[in-house]
Amino acid sequence: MSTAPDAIQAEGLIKTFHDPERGEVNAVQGLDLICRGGEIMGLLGPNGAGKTTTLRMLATILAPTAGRARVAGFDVVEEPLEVRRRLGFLSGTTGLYPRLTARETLEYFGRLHGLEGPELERQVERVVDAFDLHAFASGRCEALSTGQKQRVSIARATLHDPEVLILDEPTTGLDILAASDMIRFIEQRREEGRAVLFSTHVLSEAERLCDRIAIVHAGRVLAVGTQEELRARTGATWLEDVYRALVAEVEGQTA
Amino acid sequence: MAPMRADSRGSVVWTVARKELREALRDRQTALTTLVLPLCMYPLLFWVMVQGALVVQGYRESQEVVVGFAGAAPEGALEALGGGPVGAEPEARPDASAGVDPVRLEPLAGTAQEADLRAALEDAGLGLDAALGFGAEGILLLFDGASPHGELAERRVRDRLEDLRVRVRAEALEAAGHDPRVLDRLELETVDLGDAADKGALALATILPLLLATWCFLGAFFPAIDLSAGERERSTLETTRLLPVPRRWVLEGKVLAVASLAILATLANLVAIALSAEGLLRQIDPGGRLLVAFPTVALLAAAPMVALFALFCAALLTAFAGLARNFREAQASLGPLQLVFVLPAMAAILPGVELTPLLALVPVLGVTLAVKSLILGQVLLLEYALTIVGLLVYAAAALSFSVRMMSREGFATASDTIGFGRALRMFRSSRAISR
Amino acid sequence: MSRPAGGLTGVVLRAELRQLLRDRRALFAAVVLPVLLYPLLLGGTRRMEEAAEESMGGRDLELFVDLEGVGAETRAALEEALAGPHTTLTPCSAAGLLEVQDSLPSAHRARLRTHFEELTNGGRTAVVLATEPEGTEGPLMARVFARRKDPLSREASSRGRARLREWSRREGEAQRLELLAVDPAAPLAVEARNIASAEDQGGRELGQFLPILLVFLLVSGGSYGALTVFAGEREAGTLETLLTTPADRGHLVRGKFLCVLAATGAALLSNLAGLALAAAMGSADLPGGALGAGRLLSTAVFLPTVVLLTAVLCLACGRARSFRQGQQLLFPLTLCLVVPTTVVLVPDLEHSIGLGLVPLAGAALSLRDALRGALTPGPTLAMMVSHLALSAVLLRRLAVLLDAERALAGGAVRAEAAQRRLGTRAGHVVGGLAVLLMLAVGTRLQAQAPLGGLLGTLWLVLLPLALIGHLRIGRALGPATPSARLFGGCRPSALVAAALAAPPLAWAVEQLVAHLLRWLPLPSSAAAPSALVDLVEGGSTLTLVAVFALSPAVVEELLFRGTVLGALLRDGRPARAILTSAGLFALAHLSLHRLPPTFALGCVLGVVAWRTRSVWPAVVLHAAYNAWAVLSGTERLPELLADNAVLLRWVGLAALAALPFLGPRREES
Repeated sequence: MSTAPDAIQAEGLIKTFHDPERGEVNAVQGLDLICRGGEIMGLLGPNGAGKTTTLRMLATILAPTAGRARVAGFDVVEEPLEVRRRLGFLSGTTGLYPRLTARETLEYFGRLHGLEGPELERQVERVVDAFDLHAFASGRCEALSTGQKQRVSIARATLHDPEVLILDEPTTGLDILAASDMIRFIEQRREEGRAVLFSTHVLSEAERLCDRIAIVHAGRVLAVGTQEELRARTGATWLEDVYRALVAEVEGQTA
Repeated sequence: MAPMRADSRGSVVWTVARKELREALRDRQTALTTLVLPLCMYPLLFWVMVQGALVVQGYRESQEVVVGFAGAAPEGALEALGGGPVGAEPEARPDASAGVDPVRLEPLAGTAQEADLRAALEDAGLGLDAALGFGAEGILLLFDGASPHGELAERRVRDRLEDLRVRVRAEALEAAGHDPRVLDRLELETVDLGDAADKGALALATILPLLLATWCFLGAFFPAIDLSAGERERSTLETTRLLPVPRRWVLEGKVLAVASLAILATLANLVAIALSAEGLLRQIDPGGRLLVAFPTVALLAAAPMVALFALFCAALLTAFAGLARNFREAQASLGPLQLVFVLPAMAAILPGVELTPLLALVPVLGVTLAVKSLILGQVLLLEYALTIVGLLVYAAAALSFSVRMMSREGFATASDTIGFGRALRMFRSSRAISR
Repeated sequence: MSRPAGGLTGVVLRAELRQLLRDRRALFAAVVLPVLLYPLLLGGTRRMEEAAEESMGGRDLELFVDLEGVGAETRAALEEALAGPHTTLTPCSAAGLLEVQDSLPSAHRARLRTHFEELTNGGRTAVVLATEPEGTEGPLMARVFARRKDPLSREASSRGRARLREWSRREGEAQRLELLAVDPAAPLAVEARNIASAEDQGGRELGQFLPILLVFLLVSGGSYGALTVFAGEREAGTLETLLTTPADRGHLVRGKFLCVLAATGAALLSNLAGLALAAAMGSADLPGGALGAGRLLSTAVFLPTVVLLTAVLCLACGRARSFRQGQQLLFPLTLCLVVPTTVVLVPDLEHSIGLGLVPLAGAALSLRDALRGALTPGPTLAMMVSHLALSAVLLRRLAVLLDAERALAGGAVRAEAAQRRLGTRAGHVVGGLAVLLMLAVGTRLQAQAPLGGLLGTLWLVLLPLALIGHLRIGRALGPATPSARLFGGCRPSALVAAALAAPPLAWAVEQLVAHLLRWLPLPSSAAAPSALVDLVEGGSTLTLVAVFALSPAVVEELLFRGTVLGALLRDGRPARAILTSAGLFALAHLSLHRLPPTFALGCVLGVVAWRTRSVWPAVVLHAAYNAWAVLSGTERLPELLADNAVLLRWVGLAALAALPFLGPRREES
């Protein structure tokens, strides 16, 4: 498959919610982002910075209030179906159908992605092998452990070999082993030349994995770059300090 | 600093109950179903019923029925039946016949024999609703009970002919020089010794105990599930289990909260019915036969027992719902329990079933019968005492079951819904951990 | 990668069905339980009823009698008549009870009740007291004293009365034979024969309740499936995943819908099987036993309704955020869905194409006709088409709902919409409260004292509601735009025009009512309370105008036009605001028969208030209209007006037409 130079392109994304209690909420206010194929990009920011909303807009679950975004070369507003065909999405809160078995779940989503017959079987076998699901593939999802569920979910997200993988805090709630499985998996996607965009607030994860990091604060990207670039820009050594420095910079401007 | 200790049972129970109540009433859904729904629903329901009855009545009275007749009609019969000239077009007839319960008479060509009448009635072209054959022996009335106006026609014809019969006899007696009243050998009058509030008591005594029991049960149903199975679902169970006070106290607090919600719901229902029933029923029944007067004193006397029943429902439902993993499963498995509650309550409102010391101890039946007897104005102190003791014992047993259940290891580790049989097995097999 | 659309729907359907079938507990509750339950439940209640009846009829009772007041011969006859199985007669002296009267003060009644209880050892029986007529001629007087609310006393009283009545009938018959050898009424004896076949009769009876029962069963049986398939998806956290698959929302919704349809059908079938089993076991009477295959087959006209109800359930559950929320929605939903089907209770209402278009009501009537074997093609076709079309619309909405976030174009529109809803919501709350207060408090007050209740409801309940509502809305939502400010002044010419506009309005409403009564005849019992009738007939013209014109006009206009319409108009959609306020105004009159005329009146008054930007012309028009209607109804219009009614009608028409243009002058607004 081709690895387009820009797997994800977002320009001036804005998302405004109306909350009955808080009134107008500007979750994302003009966010620009570019993520290339074969690259792992991290969205780093505290809770409420607008990471999840951004990812959901890119995954076509939410519609942007304004701005444009293209995923795998397709516009998320105009051609959502094409986007979804080339997209794998997984979040920390993703669940599984309790009364379907792992294999049935995979087959179900495979079919919804347009796989059929021998092709479907082949892909299911591939992910069952890849994520070592043999032991529990025919057990109901409600009986699986958290780690096992996570593996089934990952298998589900990569079943159609998506060009772009969007992960929303994928390691939340996972134990050390499951989290490291997840990290290995993300690295593997890079090796296969796919783009991975993931959000996290765990700094060590970002430091280890990301080719480039976008620092998100209050619905805006404060800075994008490799870790070295970010360090050079702020003069701080640790990512934590980089973050603080960038936030201080912005707040200084507005104050 | 020494850890703060809450060792007064009352204060723990009270604290828990207050927190749960506050939480429940802040939940829009619970507040809606407990308070707003009954207050809006009953007035609207009554209104729909009353308006429906008025529409049906108006429709019925205005429908004209067509009755064919054959043979020589006795004197006055046709006038009595139709109220207007025979065979005239509706427009030509006076207004009186077009008023309430109009009947149009059509002479038939055939004889007054059943076969001819039946043929006429079955002839769709004639459009008859009933056919009358006047014979020397009497009148044969054929109608099709399944046709649109068949029964309506039959009732009108019969009623009018019956009136005529009475009139004819009276006239005959008068003609013979007798007072027509001699035929009435007896004038019968029924005197009710009850007071004004008693008037409505009969209708209410038959249904109010059932309603109270149902309201209590339904009022406790969702809150009980929310506070036990919901706790597991929201994963706050661990926190609750780790509180440095006996689990029993915590549970008692929860049951108290559920019972309070059930009482609130019952009150809301009662107020809504009391407010809406009387005025609306008067619309279809100006004479006041359906009058509903609330037996206020009896209800006040029954209040403590109803409150205890709410507590009993709360304890029982909380205990059962605690076995379920989440709201959904609890709801599915407790649904059939509704019948177990409603059936005895239904039995209690049947006439002739009365409170005895033995029945007082039957879980739902006892309290329903006790409320019934209070509304009827009876005072059965021993039975009431037994009812109260019974309710307390059952509630305590349900609570103990819950507490013992919660202190089993198997329960703490179970991630799915526990069937009742499994719960019992667990008592034997699973190790008890601290209370 | 493209594939036939049906395939995708099938994939979703199979997966959903598989999940539903694996939920054993739910399966048991929805399918197995009903089959077991109906025989048990129906059999149980029937057994209980029989037992209770038997125990009442077989109860040994002591009936107290006082026959001292009648001659020895009659006394013996009465004693014989009253004697019967399980009844012992005990003589007593009950003359003291003759004092009982409805008008007695309650203390006195209580004393008499005590006397009754002493007389009868506890009062759980009845006393029969017979006396000779006061003159020589006339019937015997027999009084039965009882306490109606006590079941035993009631039973004793009903036994006594039944036996006395039977005796009286026999005596009367004998007397007649003695006086008139030939019964002059003999040729008038009626023998009624029902020529309907068992099938016709059974179909008719079944048609009066089966449609209602079916809707109830469908909603309660299908709800679990709908909840699991839709609300369950959100709860399991799988909705997000599903929405990122490249499957069209329409296919997803259709697959899920078909699954719910299957579940609903299964639940319905098992419920019906349970009922049939109960009937076969003799624990319930089902009149449908004699129905032939043709009629049973023709009940298939109800299938579109099954589809429609399933779609409604899916939509309701698709909106719910959780299983719990969906569950709590179901009860009110069931009630709302069952109400239209009660149309089958209107005896012999003829089905028509118009009725066929009404959701659920049309289907209920078609099913009723099918059971009667009198299916009419036009209405039935209209019903089937409209129900299927409505289902399709609902399903499309459901697909949009699943895609709700995307469907809403942007935040700016949403924020404005939310702002708009606030005024509407306030208007709905105040108007709804007014309706509820009328229902709960107004009817009660008027039942107690017609005139005082009427005035009290207006001035003590509705007026405070209007004023408090207005103040609170103003405080919560800030100052209104000029077009929504209706409490201000107006041009004097508007008031004059409003006063003149009453006669044509009264004439138009009168025509409307006359037309309406043909469709919705008023029952003879729906008469106004006698106190009000007396007032209307006997009161002075001034009183009539004050009570029936001025008082309701001021209060109702301040409430429905000033506060409610004012709040609704904040949204800037005048047509909708006027229609809504008129609807609430009509509902508050609490009568189905008066709904159309009051609605029409509400619309006119709403337009007047909106265009003149003031509530006062509406007050004047309302008062003048009411006054005209009441006075012309009682033929008490001043001669000058009555003689020139036609002229006034034309003048008024011009005034009515001019009213909307008498708003504030440009420089004022």
